[in-house]
Amino acid sequence: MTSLSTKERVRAYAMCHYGNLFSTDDPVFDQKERVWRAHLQSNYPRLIKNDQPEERFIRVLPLKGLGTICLNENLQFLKDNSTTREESVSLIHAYLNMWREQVENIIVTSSSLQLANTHPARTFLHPANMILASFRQKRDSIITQEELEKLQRRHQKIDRWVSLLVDLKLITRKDKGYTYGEKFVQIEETIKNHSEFEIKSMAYILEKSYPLLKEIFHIQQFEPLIHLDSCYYRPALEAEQVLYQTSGSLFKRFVADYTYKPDTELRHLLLELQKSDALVHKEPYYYANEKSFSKMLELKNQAPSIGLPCA
Amino acid sequence: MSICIFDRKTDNRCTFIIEINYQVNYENALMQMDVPLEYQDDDFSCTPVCMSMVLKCIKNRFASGFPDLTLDAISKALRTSADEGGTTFPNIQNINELFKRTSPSLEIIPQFGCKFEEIIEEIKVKERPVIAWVLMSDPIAPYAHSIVITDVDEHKLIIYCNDPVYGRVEIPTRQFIEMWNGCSRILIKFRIGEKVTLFDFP
Repeated sequence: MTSLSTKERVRAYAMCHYGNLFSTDDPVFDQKERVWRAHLQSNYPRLIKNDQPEERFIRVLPLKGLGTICLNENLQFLKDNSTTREESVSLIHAYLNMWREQVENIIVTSSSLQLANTHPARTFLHPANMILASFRQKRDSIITQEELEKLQRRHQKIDRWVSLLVDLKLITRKDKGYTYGEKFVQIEETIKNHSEFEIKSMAYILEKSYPLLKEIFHIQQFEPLIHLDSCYYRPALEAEQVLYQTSGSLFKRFVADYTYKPDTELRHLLLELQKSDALVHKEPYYYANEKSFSKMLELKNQAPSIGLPCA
Repeated sequence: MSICIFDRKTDNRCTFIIEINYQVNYENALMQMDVPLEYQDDDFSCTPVCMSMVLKCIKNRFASGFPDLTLDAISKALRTSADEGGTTFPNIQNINELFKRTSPSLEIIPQFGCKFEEIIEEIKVKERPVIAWVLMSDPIAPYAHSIVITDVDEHKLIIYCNDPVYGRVEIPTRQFIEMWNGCSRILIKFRIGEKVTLFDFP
């Protein structure tokens, strides 16, 4: 146990020298090296702006592992053994980026069914759809290696799509080619028509593989849609409540958090989110699809905390 | 081609499943880097063991000054212990103390928030294995683990790795990215000859 004064002095030091956003956990005395050590952390404040009712409030994002602060037995700061302020600040920036990516993954996983129903999703998932549709058309067909080579000439990365569909068990290897897989059958059992099959299979691909699609398939057409969706859901997840936002607020956040896009383009994306029910619209506000949002909150609580683990 | 489901029974309640395709491993053996496989003998030494595997693999690329390292020496440099919860990210760079005299230079760089293309660059362009931290699922609670990536098949979407618990395994890239995301996308890279040192001049 440490005395209150030691704790207080270490925390005060952290706050004065690193900034008011920093605090520390309880300092521990290292008997061997005769020093006090405490880990820097932050309850990082996020400003939430709601448009209806018009209000502003703070919700914190706990960030751990922002470095170590070291003091000698006389509680004098040991600069060489401590994380520099610059390092700690850059860790905060990095953690906030990690949080942003984590939120995007949570959003896609929770609203995959809605997002699959958008034009950008249909466009980039077209190669997968094409392969699956061939088994819907002719149940006993087999896509052979020769056929894949022909496809490869017209659609780049078709081999990767095949590998992904195999991994997801939507298709499976058979003889000298590929046929439908067990997940394909499972989805078929739950649908009434082919367009429902298309949406459900695309939703399944999105739900299970968004990070991979982003990094390996480079889905530039689809990402801005998720970014705009994230401009609504990230603050809502931080606030843990449904917010009401005007298109103006969402566009402003998009430009601040991502990159500049003309309002016309953003309006088109917003319409896609609205049409697919990823966001609900009641003039002039946009708000959460409640079913998806409760799934997002569940996933947020299950997600690993932001910071660096030990292995 | 035989796919074998490997069941690790840590106790009677939990089963952890990794799909290992031994046949493909064999077929791809020539493509993969020759990283010797080592197993950990305790609960928490995955990172030092991974480090030891990579260091043995790259050892021949040094003309002089490469120390003879035991697992104990690596663990000590990394300050790996059960009390620390294994290896902490900030302590990884301490291992560079051991390589001050190598020629060409060797720097071991831990980074987080990395992109997948950085793995491709390390493996395919620089031809060096890279260590990744991944979050392993477990019926009781997920845990962070260290593995050595030895190859990446960008078409079949498979990651080949040396796992200090499970041996030589292959993981679908989709699953790997999910596990890697759970561990802050940490990579430990090995930079060879990127820094000029006094020991480069005889």
